[in-house]
Amino acid sequence: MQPELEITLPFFILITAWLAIVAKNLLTAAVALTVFSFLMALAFVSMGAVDVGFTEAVVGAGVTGVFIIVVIFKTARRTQDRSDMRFKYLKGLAIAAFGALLIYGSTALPIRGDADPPMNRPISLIGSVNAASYYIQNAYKDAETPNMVTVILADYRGYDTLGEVIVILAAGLICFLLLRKQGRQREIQR
Amino acid sequence: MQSFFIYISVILTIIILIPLYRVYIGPSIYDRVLGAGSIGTKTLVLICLIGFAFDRFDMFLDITIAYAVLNFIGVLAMAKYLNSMRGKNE
Repeated sequence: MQPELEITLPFFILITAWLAIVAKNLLTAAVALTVFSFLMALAFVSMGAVDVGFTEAVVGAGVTGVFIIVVIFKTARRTQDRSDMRFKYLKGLAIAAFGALLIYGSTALPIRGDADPPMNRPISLIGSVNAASYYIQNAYKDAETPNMVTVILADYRGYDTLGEVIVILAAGLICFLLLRKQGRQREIQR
Repeated sequence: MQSFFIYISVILTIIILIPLYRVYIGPSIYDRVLGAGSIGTKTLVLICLIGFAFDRFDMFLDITIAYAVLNFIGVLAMAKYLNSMRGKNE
C-alpha cells in the first residue's frame, strides 16, 4: 500500500466504525456499516488482496447492509436503550486488557511483504513440517495453474470449496424464502 | 506520474468526508443511502487510481466494473425495500 493512503484510509475506517457504534438511529448505523465495508474493501484492494476485497464488498457492503435494513423494518422495537452501569470500570478494564493483548500479539507478526516469514519456511519454529512451503514449491507442478491461491482453493481443498458452495446456496435459498412477498398467505389469514 | 495519482487518491479519500457528513446528519434514510452510494462511487475511482499505482490497470478496471454493479445493486435493493415499506409504516 502507498504510505499516503496507508495514513488516510484507516482514519476514515475508524471514523465510520465509530459512527456505526454511536449512532442513535439504527438505520444510520446500518448505512455507516455499509460505508465501513466499502472502505475496508478498498484497503484490501490497495494492499493487493483483490479477491478478499471483492468478498468484503459483496458480503459486507451489498448483502449485509440490505439484510440489516430489512430486519430493522420487519421487527418492532419493544425495549428502551438503558445501559447497565454496574461493573462499569471492570468492563472497561476487561476491554482494555483484551486490546492490549491483541496489540502485543500483533507485534510478533511478520512485516507485510516479507518474502521469508516463519510460516513459509520448510520447517516451522517448533520443528514440524510446514504446509505452505509445499504449496509454494509444488503448486505449479501439481496443477499447472499460475495462480497459487486458485490451486489451493480449487484443487488441494476442492471438497472444502464444494461444501462452501452448498452452504452459500442454502443460505441464499433461505433468504429468498424468508424475504419473498407473502401476500396470498396474509389474505387467507384475514 | 505515479506520485500524481497517489496524491489524487489521497485528496479523493479526504473528499469522502463530505458524503460521510450526509450519512451521519442526513435527516431521512434516503439521504443516508444516497451518501453511501456516492462514497461507493468514490471508491470506484480510488480503485482505478490504485490500479495505476500497481501498474496493472487492465485487471483493476475489471474489478472496478464489478464494484460499480455491486454498488448499484446495493443501493437499488435498499431503495426497493424502503419503497415497499413506505405504505405500511406511514
